[in-house]
Amino acid sequence: MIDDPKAGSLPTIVAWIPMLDSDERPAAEAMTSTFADKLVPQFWDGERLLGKEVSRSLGVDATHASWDIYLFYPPEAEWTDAGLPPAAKVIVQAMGVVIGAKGTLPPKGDQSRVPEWAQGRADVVGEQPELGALLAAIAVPFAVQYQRR
Amino acid sequence: MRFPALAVILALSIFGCDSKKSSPESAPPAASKPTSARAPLVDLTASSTLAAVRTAFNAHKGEARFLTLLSPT
Repeated sequence: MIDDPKAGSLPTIVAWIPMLDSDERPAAEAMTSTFADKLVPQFWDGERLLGKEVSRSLGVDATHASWDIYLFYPPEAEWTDAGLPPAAKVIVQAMGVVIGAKGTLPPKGDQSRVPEWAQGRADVVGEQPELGALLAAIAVPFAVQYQRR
Repeated sequence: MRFPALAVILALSIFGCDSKKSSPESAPPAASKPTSARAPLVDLTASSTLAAVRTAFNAHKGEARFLTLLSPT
């Protein structure tokens, strides 16, 4: 858990997407209780529409949905008729590691583990058990940078 | 489910809730209006396109935002 209160200054949207055999809507409904007393908009992307839109926004193959992905957007970002804008910072779990779009976090570890589809676009930034810490490492400075005045 | 990641997302979500309480002039989208203790799970379908999540995303234009897509299991 982040203990810096400034890290809690990002409006959050959560989408649940079926990618595994066990990913049915009831499972997503159960997960909504994770945010039981918070007004976090939560969506069921049962047709993977948002997942594919995220892929498109990142310039990767939009026939494949993005998932296990964490995107940070600056204040000026607006979803227009052209679609979801690209995120300023992105990390995603892939191939047993966490990769980040270039400039999201410093490269760390074996860079040969960057999946083929992400080569040239992303760096390995850590191992999967580090995901929480990696998110905090992005979220805290990002929130502070754009803290409302 | 990646528990550490969820813990971070929970932390991130705290201010989003507070900011709505303190900024009534920026009305939350229909998709985020609570009908109970928590926001409902809104279906994104081909017929509805992505309008609901687009509205939720743009509701906080002018603020940094965080979006995540997760497998529920």
